[in-house]
Amino acid sequence: MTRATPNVIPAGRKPGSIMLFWAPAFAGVTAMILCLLAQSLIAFDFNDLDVGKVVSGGAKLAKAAGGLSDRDEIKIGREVAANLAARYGLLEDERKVRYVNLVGRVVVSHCDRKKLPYHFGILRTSEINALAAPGGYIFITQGLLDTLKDESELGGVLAHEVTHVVRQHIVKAIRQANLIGAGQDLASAAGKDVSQFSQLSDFSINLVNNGLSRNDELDADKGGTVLAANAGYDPAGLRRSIERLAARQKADVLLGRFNKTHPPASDRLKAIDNTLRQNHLTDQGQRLTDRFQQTLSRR
Amino acid sequence: MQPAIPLRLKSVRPMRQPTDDIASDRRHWGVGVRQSCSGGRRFARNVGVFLILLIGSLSFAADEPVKKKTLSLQDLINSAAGSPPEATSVAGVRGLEETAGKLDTQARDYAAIERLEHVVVHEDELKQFMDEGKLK
Repeated sequence: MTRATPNVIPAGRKPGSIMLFWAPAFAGVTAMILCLLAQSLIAFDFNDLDVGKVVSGGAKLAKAAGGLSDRDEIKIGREVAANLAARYGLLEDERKVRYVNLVGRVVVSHCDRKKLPYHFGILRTSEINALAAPGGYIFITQGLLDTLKDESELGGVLAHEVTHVVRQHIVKAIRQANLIGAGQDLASAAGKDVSQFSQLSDFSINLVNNGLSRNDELDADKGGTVLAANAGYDPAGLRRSIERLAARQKADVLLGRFNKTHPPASDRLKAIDNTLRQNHLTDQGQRLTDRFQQTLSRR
Repeated sequence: MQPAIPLRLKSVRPMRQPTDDIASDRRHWGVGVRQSCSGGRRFARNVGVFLILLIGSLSFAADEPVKKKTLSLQDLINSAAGSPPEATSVAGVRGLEETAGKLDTQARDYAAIERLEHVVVHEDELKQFMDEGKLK
């Protein structure tokens, strides 16, 4: 075995020089990679985009997102909230809105970002969903509220959304979205005068409507479960609400956007079960079915 | 005993030396091919191979027909915005026929948000609510 080496690399020859023999092969692989990149560029229509402007736009946007203060975050969140209000309308029933705000505030009192001025609203739509805008604007749809059975489920859903705000999932997405940031600069490239603030708002509106990343959603499930438990609610409230939605037909049109913006229920239930087990959370918390039913008495 | 291997790192010829066995012959061929090129010629050969492969690959890519509709970045952002609208009939709320259209990022209802911001939960009210529910 040891005598084979001199046959390949003659004495006096640098061992590393054998790499030169493989250089054409490496060149071929490199060429293939370049080919694939070229192919994807050819298949993609950039609408005569000024690449320089797009890259600088993405960099500016990422820089802006990186330095977002709470005040800026609230300002952007207010834009997102106003957009949702215009799109769906807000329920004006004072009793129900106050109740949702009370449950939300109970959850917030145990979170790590208490100083934000949280607002909890009910969107007037039969769609089933809950949404969190930056800065503490949180919404649950009338459709989702109608599917819940007790206060611990509402607490769990709101805790999930509060976790999105506490962990700044949207701000993080803005920071990471150089590509989409560059895409937003399309308007500038086309000659329109769009401020950086409105770019960030538009991006956030798109993000809230199209959904956060799978990891952020699972993170919010885990964080929300613990948060609701810390507030004294049955930690399985969020789990039950997801399980009930999963039992509905997948083709249910009211669940269309919910299914599109959240990971599969099986993954979410698994993540929650792991959280319950790891944190030794038992169903000792409050469900408060009567208070929930009486306040939202429309059944 | 291994026969001495003649090394001619810089020379082009001769490629082969008289050999007395097959193994030695193979070895001389291998060494000979590699040693036949000087550094500059080897580099030129590698660059040539690279360029041939690159040009061939790019021409293949250019000829590949694009079957899908081309998408702009903005299309990608908006692509997941709406599900097909279907009529729903739930009293007091907006149905999908009203809300499932294309996302209008410019729409705002600041007055509604202002009303929501006026819903203030006072500390004593919150404490009473928590106490009644036996919450922490």
